[in-house]
Amino acid sequence: MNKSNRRVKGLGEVSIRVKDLDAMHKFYEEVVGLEVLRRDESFVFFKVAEGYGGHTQNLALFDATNRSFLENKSLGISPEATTLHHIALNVALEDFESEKMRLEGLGLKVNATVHEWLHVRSLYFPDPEGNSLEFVCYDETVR
Amino acid sequence: MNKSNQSVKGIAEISLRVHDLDLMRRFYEQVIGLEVLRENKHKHSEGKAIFYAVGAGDENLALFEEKLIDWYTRDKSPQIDPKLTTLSHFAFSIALDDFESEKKRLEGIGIEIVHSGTSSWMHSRMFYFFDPEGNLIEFKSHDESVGRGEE
Repeated sequence: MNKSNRRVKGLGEVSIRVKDLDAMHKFYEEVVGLEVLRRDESFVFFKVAEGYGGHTQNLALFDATNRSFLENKSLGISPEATTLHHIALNVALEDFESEKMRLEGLGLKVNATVHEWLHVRSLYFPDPEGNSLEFVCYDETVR
Repeated sequence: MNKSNQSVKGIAEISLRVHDLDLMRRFYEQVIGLEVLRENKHKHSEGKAIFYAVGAGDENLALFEEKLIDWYTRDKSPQIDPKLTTLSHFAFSIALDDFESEKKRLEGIGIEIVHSGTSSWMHSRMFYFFDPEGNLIEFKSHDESVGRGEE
């Protein structure tokens, strides 16, 4: 397969569910040595590297007690049953709408949203075993 | 830019622990459109791991069948029952130059390196440790000298 034809352009983010956000934040900042991108009450984002098309490659930690963000996005897996919150894969901005239609056409329940502070558009959908996937693209106009 | 002293250069791999490999591989190949890099049958265990190329770089997404038993599925993780998470492990890439010093640094602050190894087909070396909540982390460096002339 020609690499340029791949819809997925890179690993955008891995997000894990944590019990003790402060302790985990400290570990990933001080032990693993990652740069904090944003810390909020219930989550912290670390920048791992420059990513595809203006996006940063991130590691995110989400407080397991805060369900608001992905409440209805992961089907089939109880939040207590996995430390994986979701995985984000980079797609190109020009493929965003066609990918949304393609996934919906396959019968997947797709949740489209934007994250203003990251300047990204996202599609969330579950894999067959209930892991939450995100197709994400950087979009400068999302503010 | 990264922090100037940041050893971690990128996310190299995310591995999922999967129950129904046929179902999951169809999805990741046909729906997500990922290209198979390698299928690994294990020498001492039933079960298989499939590695997919993601993007233009060295990044992988991998599916590890849950019946695949290896060191990482034994009782190494103190807090997480391996059956209770779909995350097998994830890998950060680090520079080969930093490989030994990072290992020493982590050991020096009391982190147990639970496994070290090389992958001939990936031409890389890696070591593993747990975060405070039991997620398995891999530090991995590309090393062309690993696996040369083999296979």
